[in-house]
Amino acid sequence: MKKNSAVNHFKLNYSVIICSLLVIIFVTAGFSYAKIYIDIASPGIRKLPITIKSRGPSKTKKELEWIIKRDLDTTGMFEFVDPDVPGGEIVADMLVSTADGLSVILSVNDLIEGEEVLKIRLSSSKMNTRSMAHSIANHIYKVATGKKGIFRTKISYLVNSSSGRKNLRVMDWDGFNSTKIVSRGLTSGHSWSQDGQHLLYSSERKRKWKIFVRNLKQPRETVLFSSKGLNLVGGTSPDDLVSFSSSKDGSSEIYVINLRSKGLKKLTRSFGIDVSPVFSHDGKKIAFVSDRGGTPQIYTMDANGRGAARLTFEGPYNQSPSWSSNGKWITYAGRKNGKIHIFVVKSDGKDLRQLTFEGNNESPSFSPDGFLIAFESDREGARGIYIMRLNGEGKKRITPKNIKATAPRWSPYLK
Amino acid sequence: MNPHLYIGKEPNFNKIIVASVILHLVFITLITIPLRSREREYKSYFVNIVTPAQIRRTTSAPAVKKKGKTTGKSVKTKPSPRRRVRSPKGVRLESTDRLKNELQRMKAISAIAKLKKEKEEALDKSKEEEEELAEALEDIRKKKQISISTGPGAQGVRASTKTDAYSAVVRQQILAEWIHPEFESALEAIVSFKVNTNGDVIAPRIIKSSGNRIFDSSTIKAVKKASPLPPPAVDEEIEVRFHNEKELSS
Repeated sequence: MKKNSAVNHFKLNYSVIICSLLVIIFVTAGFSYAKIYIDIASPGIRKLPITIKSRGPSKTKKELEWIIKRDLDTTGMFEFVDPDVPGGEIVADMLVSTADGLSVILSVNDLIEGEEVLKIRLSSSKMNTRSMAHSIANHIYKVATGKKGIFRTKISYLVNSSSGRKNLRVMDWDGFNSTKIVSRGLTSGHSWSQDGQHLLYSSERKRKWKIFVRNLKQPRETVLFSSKGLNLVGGTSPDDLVSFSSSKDGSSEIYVINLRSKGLKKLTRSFGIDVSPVFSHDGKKIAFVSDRGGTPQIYTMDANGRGAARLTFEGPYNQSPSWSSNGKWITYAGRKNGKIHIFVVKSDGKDLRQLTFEGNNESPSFSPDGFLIAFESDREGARGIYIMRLNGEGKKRITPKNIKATAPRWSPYLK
Repeated sequence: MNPHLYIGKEPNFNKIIVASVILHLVFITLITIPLRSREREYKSYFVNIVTPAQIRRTTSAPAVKKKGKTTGKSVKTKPSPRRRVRSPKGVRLESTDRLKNELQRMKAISAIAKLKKEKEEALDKSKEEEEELAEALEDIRKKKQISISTGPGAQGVRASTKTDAYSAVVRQQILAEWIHPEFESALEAIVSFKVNTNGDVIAPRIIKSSGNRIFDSSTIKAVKKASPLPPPAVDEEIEVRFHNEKELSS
C-alpha cells in the first residue's frame, strides 16, 4: 500500500511538472508572438493598367480595339498598356474571325492572380463592329469592376432641322449610329420607357401638342394623350407611368398617365407653373421644376403628389432635373453669373457641386449606372451633346459640330 | 472488496488530473486567442510617422531658437562653438563610449572656441554671453527632462518605433499598389499574410471579407504586387485592414 502511494506521489509530481511545463510553453507561445497590424485607407481612384490585344483580320481587329479603348477610357478607370510593354494587370485577348459574320473569342486574364477570369465567344451574323466592340467592352468592364457597363446604351436627342423643325433622333451613347425617330412637326420633351423599348415624346401636330409613344422596333407611333395647351413629357416610372406637364386647365401642372390603361392623375395644384416632372428610378419620387416660391426651382415630391419639398435654394433659375439610378443624386441646370451650368446635388439637398464652368450647359441626363452625365452645351460655338463623369471630368463632345443637337436623354440598360 | 477497488483506481485519478490540466490549457488558449485578436489595433500611417517626428521636433526646437538669436548678434563664428559648449553637457547624460569620444572632441573644440571668444569679445559682451549660457543651461535641463522621461521605457519606445517604421514602409508599399474601382458604399476587408526574412509575401488571404468580390480581390492583389517587402529580421505575420472612404459615387 505504502509503496503504491509513493509511486502515485511520484507520478503525481511527474505529471505536475509536465503540466507546468506545458503551461509555460503555452503562455510564452501565446504572448511573445506579436502580429503587425496595418491600416490602409483607399488612395482613391487609380487607373487599372489593362492590355488589350487581338489577332485576326487587321482592319476589323484594329477597329474593335479602338472602340473598346474609347469606351473604357470614358470611365476614367483604365490605363492602357501596350501589349509589348509589361505592366498590364489585366490582359484582354481577342481572337477575331470574319469568316462567318463577325465572331470574337474574348479571353481576359488576371496577371496578378495568374488566372483566366473570363472566356467567352461572341458572334453576330452581321458585320456590326461597333455593337460587337461595345459588348466586349461591357464584358471587360464587368470583370474589372464587377459592375454592368453602359456601352450598349443609347441617347435620344433633338436636332434642329434646316426648316426650323425639331427632330427626335436616337444614337449610341458615344454618338455613333444616329437614327431618325420623328421628323414631323415640332418635337420637344422626350423620355425612354424603363424597359428601353419605347420612346415617349411630345410633338406638335396641326397646332396641337400631343404625347406619343413609339416602340423603337416599329415605325408606327400612337397617341397617348392629347389636349389643348402645352403637354410636355417629363419621365417614366418602372410601373408604366408617364409623368408630364400640361397647361390644359390654364396654368401648367403635373400629371401622370398610365401607359397601358391611359388613366390620368393630376398631381399638383399650385398657383405657379410646374414643369419637367421626372420619376426617380424606383418610381417612388418625382423631381420637378416649380416657380411657386417666386423663381423656378427644383422640388421633389412623392409619386402620389404629396410631400413636395424645395430642393434647390441657390441661383435665380434652376431647371431640367434628372435622377441618378440609385436615387442618391439629382443633376440639373442652373443659372450662375449669367451663364447656365450643370450642377449635382444629393436628393436631400446636401453636397451641391458645380460640374461645368464654360459656356452654357443644359439638359443633363444621368447614364443608367449613374457614373456619366450627358448634357448639351454651346462651349464650342454650336450647341452639341457632351458627356462627362459624375465628378465633372472627361467632358467630350459626341455629336458632330455641323448639327445643332440638344436635350439628350440617356436610355436605361438595353439588351 | 470495495475499498480495495477504490485503491486500485488511484492511478486513474492522476490521469484524470493530467487530462483536466491539458483540457484547461486548451480552453485557456482558445479563450485568449480571440481576446487577443479583439485587441487588434490597426495603426495608420499618420500615427506611425507623426510620433517620431514630434520627438525630434521638441528636442531640436531650442537649438533652432538659439541659432536665430546668435545670428541676430551678427557674430557668425560664434553659434557653432557655443552650441558645442552646450551639447557636451547635454550629451553627458547618455554615457556611451561613442558619445564620450565625441564629447572629448567637442571639449577640445569648445576650448579653442572659448579662447577665441575671449580674445575677440569685449568685456561688456560677456554679460550677454552669461545670460545666453544660462538660457542654454535651461535648455539642457529641459532636454534632460525629456531624456529622463523617455529613459525608463526607452527600450520599449525604441522597439515600438522600429516596428512602426517597418509597418509604415510596408503600408506605403502596399498602398502604392492598391487599385480598385469606385464603390458605392464603405467597404472593409482584412488581409493576413506572412513575410519571411527575404521579404517575400507568403499566403495572403482574406480573413475578413468586405462582401464585395472585386474589393476583396483588389486587396489581395495589392499585397501580392507589393512583394517583396523590406525583409524583416524574423518572419513576421502582418494583418492589413483595407477600407475605402465614402467617395463621390452615383
